[in-house]
Amino acid sequence: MIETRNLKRVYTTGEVETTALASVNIKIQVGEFVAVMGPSGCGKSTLLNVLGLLDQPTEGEYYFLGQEVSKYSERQRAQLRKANIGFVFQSFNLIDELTVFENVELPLVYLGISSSEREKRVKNALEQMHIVHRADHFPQQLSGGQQQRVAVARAIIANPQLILADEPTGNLDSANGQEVMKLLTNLNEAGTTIVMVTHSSEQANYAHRIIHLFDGHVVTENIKEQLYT
Amino acid sequence: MLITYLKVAFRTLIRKKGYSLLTIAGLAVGSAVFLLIALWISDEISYDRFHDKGDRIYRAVWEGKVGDNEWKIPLGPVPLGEALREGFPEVEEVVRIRPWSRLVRHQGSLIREEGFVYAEPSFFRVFTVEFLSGDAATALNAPDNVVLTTTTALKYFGTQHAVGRSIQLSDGTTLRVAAIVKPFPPQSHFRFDFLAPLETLPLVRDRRAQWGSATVYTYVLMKRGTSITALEEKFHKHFQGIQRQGIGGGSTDYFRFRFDPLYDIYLRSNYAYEIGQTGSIDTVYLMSAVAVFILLLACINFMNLTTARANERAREVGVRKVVGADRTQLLTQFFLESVVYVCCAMVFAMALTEITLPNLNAFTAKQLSLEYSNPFVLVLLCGFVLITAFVAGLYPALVISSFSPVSVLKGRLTSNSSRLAGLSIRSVLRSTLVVFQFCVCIALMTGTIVLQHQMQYVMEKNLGFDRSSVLVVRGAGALGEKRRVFVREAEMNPGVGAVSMVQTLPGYDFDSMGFEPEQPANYRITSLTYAMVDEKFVDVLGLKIVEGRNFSTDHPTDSSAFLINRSAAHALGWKHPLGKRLRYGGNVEGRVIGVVDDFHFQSLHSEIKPIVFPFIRWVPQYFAIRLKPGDKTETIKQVKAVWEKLAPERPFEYSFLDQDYERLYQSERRLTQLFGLFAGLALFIACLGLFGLATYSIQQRTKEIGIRKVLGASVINIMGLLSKEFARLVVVALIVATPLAYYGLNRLLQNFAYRVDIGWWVFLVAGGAALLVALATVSFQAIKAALANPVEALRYE
Repeated sequence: MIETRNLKRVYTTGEVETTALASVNIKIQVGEFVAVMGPSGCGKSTLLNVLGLLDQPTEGEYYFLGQEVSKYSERQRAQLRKANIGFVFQSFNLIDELTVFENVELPLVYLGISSSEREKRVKNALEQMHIVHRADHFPQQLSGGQQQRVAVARAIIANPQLILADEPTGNLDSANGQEVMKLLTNLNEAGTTIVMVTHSSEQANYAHRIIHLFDGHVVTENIKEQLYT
Repeated sequence: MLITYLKVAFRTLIRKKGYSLLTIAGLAVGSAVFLLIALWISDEISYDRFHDKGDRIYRAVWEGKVGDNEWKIPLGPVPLGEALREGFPEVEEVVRIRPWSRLVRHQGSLIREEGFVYAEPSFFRVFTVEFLSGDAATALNAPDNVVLTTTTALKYFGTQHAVGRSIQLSDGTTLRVAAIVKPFPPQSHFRFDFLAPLETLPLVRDRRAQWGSATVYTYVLMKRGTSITALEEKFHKHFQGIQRQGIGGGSTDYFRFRFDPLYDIYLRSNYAYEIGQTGSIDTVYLMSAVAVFILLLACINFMNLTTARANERAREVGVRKVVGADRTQLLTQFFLESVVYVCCAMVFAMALTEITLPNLNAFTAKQLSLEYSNPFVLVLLCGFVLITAFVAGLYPALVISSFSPVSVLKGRLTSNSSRLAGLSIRSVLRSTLVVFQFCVCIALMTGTIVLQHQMQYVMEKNLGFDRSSVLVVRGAGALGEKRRVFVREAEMNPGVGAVSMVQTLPGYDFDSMGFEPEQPANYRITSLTYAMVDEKFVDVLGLKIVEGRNFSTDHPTDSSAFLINRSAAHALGWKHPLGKRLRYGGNVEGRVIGVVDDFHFQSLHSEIKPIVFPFIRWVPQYFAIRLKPGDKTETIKQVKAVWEKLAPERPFEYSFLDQDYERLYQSERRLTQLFGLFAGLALFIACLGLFGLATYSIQQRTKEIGIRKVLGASVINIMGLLSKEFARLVVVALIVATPLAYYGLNRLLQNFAYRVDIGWWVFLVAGGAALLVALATVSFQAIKAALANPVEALRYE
């Protein structure tokens, strides 16, 4: 599903150049659950942004679903993104001015799906996340765990093939965190590919495979089965 | 999708109350000013548009020069009408009219009717008049016919069915009401309450063949497809033929008739002897500019406040992009949000407009209103909302929708290079816009100061005569021979100084006529301004005689003598004017017995002209009464009693010379007041914006302020730091505004022959005031920031 070749991302601030990714080569198959780990500033988030088509690599190639997308325009990337990728963030990133229902509905709105269809799908997703009773509330009225469930509902509403999660449990207590991880695992078992950035090896254990980043390089790739057998 | 956009817009509007209030208040005030001015302008430019054949109607203007005297007036000689009617096939119709105020008997007393207009029967074929009863073809055909407007009919008869009834004039004439018509709408360059046949006016009968006297207003209706310039040329050739028969003697003298389009009369002609109040196209332009500028200020506020707080929306933009929104969708969303704000502002603006309209109407003597039932007005309002939203909302929408979604993943705005560059471009633009706002404020303020200064100068300048405490009584001629009794009895009153009988007075219209002065002019006809006065005139006005003496009853030959002013002596080439001979009116000849010092008998718009004061031989128009200090109301009451004894039926009509004279500056005075008002409003709007900007700028610098305070900065240091950036903008605005305002104001002052200098202090005062107000606005936020606990600011790091 995903393949990168010599992926490089350099930020320039004034006269200072910071290399966030230096020649990253990874491959992710359909249906995999991959965790990305590494210390602060190692380039985890940058990698996720590039994989999620939010950011463009400075150099290198990026194949997404078989297409070379590293030179795509913003509009092309947006098209690809909204049909295929769902995001879950550490800080939830729900829109404060929209209700739970409207937040979850948003991707469908941008996909141009009819409102009756939207209503059906949002209801389903909210039921799946056990949050349907909060549909008319605003994000600030919810607990962190509830907000993250809403965010996951939003990420899956358009049935994406890939979910990118950036420390999805970072702002949650352990109980809520585990629940979110369970949700992700369920999604993965249902066939969705998941790439998750995390600090915690406990969370990483939910994944099939862990990619370790350090200073913009992939240092090790552990297949979990191998690690434990 | 639209519904979601609107929902978010309304929720944002309600959630950010302070911000919404600032943007909407500024926009509402700006729009209200714009709407009010637009209403006024649309009224000003709609004059005389109600005539069906208006595009083919022209008014004759008489241009001429005899000697040193030049004129360009809309009044023309009586025979002009016949000449146009007879010799020129392209002329479809001609109508001559002359307003002549009459005293009309009503319930036992006499009422002065200023709207009494004498006109030819063709009036109804040229102008569009709606008849309620009577026949347009015959209404003005009989000499004792009169046509009334509905208002007049109601006033005199209590009913509009007044055809066949009669009215009586003060001289005993009885007129029969032949028709009732609707009055002209207020947007007409002249109005009438009564129409009577032109040939019954003695003045017109007497001058039937006189090409030399300005008597009637002549309007021509051209045939379709004909050219007015061709007629002008043709008529000029024809007229030169007439001229050879004996009018205008000198080689440099000339006469010419021009024809002004009806639609141009109100705004574009500003002659002496206008038939009614005229407007000014310059004022229309000036006000348009003010309206646009004030609206721009409000739009700029909107732009600045919206982009300044754009960062708050960054997260939302990021999220929307992440879940699939493209740029166009976001642009639409934020543009729609602007539309929502503008619509809210419009609701307030219309309320403000409705509230202030009565004041504007009182101030401009108009009847303006927002007519919502008029589809044109509705379309205009919608257009206005869209254009304002477009101007104010497009740029913020562009900025906000450009945020990169990556920022959102980091939880705060990243500081990569492109973002920094974007921020600085935006803040430079923001600063530029603030500078522009303050430029407008400073320009309007200097305008106010300079105009005020000019007005003060005009009011306080020594005019060469004393205009205070002079009572002017109208209708001196109506007393007939009893006028001398009036003078004698009025002068016996201890509160009265001297009483003079005059033809005209400073602040009123001055006529000119042909005089034949002796050497060096060799009795060639020279047109000179004149006013016939008696021996008390010099005393009443407090004039200074610089040579010779005043008229005196002791010298019988003074009845044909002259006083002249210094400029006249100079213009006529007389080094020793005393004893020089002058002739006028064909048979009156006399000598100059005195020279008065120049005084401003006309407004300070023009330079002092040569003027001749012949001893009064014709019927006087006014009594000018010098009042002594004391109880003036009582004195006026006693003078009125004298009048009522001599002319019990005639109303006692009086005014004060100083007030009449100051009316010459009415339009400038209004302009000054308007400038002041708009300068205030502009400053208010700009400060609303500045307040908002300061709030956001200080919010962004909370951390910096915290660090500075930890390192030992005092409250004063911090305030200085924060105020400095805004003070700099005002100073830049002053530098930019100064030359522009100086140029513009100089042009405005060109209207005055006598004017003040625009001193550098004007700009200093205006700039200082703007700076002070701006700092006061910013300091509120600055003090709050400076006093805040630095620990709060740094805690999140």
